Amino acid sequence: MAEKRILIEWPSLGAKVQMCKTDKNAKMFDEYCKRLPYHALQIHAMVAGYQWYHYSPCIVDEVNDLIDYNPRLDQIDDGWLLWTPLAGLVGCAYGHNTEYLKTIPIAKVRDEDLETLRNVGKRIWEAVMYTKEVIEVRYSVIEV
Amino acid sequence: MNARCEELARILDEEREKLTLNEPDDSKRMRLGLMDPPAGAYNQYFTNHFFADAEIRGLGMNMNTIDHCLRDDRFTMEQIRVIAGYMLPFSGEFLDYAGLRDTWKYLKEFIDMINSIDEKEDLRNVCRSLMIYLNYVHAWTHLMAPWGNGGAGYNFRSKEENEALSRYYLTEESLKANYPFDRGQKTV
Repeated sequence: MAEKRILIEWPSLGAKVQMCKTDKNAKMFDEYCKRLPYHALQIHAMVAGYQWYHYSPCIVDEVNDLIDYNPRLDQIDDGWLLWTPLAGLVGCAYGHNTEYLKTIPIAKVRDEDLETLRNVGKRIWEAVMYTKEVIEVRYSVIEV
Repeated sequence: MNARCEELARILDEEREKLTLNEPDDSKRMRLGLMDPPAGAYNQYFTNHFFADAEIRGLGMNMNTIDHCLRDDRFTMEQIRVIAGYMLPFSGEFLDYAGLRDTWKYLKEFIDMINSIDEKEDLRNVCRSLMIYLNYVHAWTHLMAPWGNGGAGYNFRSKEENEALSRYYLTEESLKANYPFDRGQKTV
């Protein structure tokens, strides 16, 4: 049976990564996938740490029955895709974050894509901090 | 379904799609210092960008609150009018002054709808469209904010650097020499 994954692409950077469903927040993963594809302007957190994010039109009215994993942001592994479903924020922790607020991880990057994720994160940081390079991010669902 | 609300929601969705990857005039106006009147004390507009970027970020969150209230049966339309009156106009008018003219134009129209339409359901779509539109405009003000102009001056110090500073400032003489105004040694 085919496995559903989230494909994230940054065409201008020539980079892409795949995010996988896990046993944590699996219902959230499915809810999010229903709302793809879309694209957005890629930006970076200025305070929390090594985390890029963007706004999205992916908003859910009620999520209490969908969330089973709600850890602190400073206590998760690198490579989690994060979704704030009541506001449409989508982020990704590609390194350590000092912010200790709760977060909602919904998918984990493939091991072989973690280095790409970190390189993209650094490039996005440089864009927001210094170069003002416009970086598009695209999301879609793939089956592998 | 309210035709006026749906029409504004349609316009906002279209405008949001256009500005997703093309910088909107609101952002350009602020980034290039083309505000009229020229927002920014003492002949600079660096500060304006920081204030406006923070304000529109917060405005998106406040819209999120209104969005929740419109979908929550515990809130009446009259209560939502009061909440919206407290949360939205000040931010919107400030952003207009700061250069985000379209942002205020659309927000003002939404506030007028809140004050004149009685059915919560009629306002749900347009509220959400406006929230997403504001968030997408914020993405641009966030990208274009002059973070790098100040960020390099605020790098966290290493343990060794902090210890060296502590040793240096251990004496009252060092403090007086470096902070004479703070320590009453001079008067303006």
